[in-house]
Amino acid sequence: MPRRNYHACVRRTYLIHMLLRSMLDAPDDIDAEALTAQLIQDLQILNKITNTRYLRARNRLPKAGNLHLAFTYAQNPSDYIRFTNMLRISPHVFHVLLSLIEDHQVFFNNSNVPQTPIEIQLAVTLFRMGRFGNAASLEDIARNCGISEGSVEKFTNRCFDAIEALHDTFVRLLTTEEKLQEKQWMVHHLGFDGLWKEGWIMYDGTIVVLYSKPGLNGDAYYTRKGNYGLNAQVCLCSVRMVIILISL
Amino acid sequence: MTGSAHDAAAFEHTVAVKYPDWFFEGEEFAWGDSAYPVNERTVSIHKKPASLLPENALFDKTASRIRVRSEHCMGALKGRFQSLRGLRINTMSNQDHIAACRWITIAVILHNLVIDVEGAQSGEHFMNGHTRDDELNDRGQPDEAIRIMGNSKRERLITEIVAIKGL
Repeated sequence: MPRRNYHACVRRTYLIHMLLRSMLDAPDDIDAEALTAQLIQDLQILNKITNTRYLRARNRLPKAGNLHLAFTYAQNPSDYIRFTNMLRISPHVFHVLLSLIEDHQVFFNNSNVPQTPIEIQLAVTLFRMGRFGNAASLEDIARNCGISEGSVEKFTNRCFDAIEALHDTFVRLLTTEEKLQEKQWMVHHLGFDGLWKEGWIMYDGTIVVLYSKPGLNGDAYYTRKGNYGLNAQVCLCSVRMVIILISL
Repeated sequence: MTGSAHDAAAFEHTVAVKYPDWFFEGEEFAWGDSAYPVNERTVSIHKKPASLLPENALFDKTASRIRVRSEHCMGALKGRFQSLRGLRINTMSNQDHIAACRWITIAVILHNLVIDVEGAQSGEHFMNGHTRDDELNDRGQPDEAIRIMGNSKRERLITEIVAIKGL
């Protein structure tokens, strides 16, 4: 059953109240004037319920995130592994990534209210990318990070914009020197030189599973394994395992 | 491509197939698993019964040692960014489909960035998060190949490995 919103619940409760009242409190003689007055009053109340925007007090949601722990872990080399488990990349890579994206214009606006610090936005994004199942739900991410659900979406979108701008720097064909290096590694790995070293590229197809059946053309996403997903064709270097092409 | 696409069918739409001369130089070729077509630019391992021949078995064994690295790569990618194991995007419109593709692209960019900064071994920590069994569970056994043509490159590779290693 779909979830009813609060307005619908209140309206329904009032209608039941009206019904019970007229059943239990039925007058012996019908007084048209009193009944009309009663009906007008009911209609006014129902109208008021519909037109009142907020039926409940709007209190601040209590928030207690634990994202700051990641930055505490980053202070101490023995806790680096905890940082990595939380944000999926090591503190060193985190700082490199931060320095690469922090100048992107998406993090600047002409407002008097400054944006949340970029490292927090990036941490939320990485935290989100590292979870699946219930832990990946917007509500759980928001609660863990101590921010609102809307912020989670906003931070992720901003960071995705900034990271996407790095696409051509990191996902590209190799230069001639890199190819030579790759082939040398192949010779080293195989133990002999020859035609085999020319095969330094690998193709692989993989399924990125979706958590539910898509609403649009759902059947087209159905895979052999009975789940729904996207087929990604990946082309990678045999030795360094860098992905040089991705076709979705 | 959507999940119902056959690996070999999805592969036909990649740049590597459409513009091979841009992608490959000289004798270069790529390894695929047995689902991919065999030609001058793509070499895959044998399927039964061809894989039972001793020279083919030797070829397959050596080639599989290279191929297994791609599984490691997938393990590192999906183990690190586990959201790829159950992408929480409601595909209700074309924009949502693009958003899902974007999510995957971002994960790949970050994967490459990590390797550039820390090297390939940095993924080992995450490989337990997405094992070979998980990967098989996601995609199942490889498809049957749609067509096989131009075996000559593979023949040359077999001749070479037999000459070097002996049967």
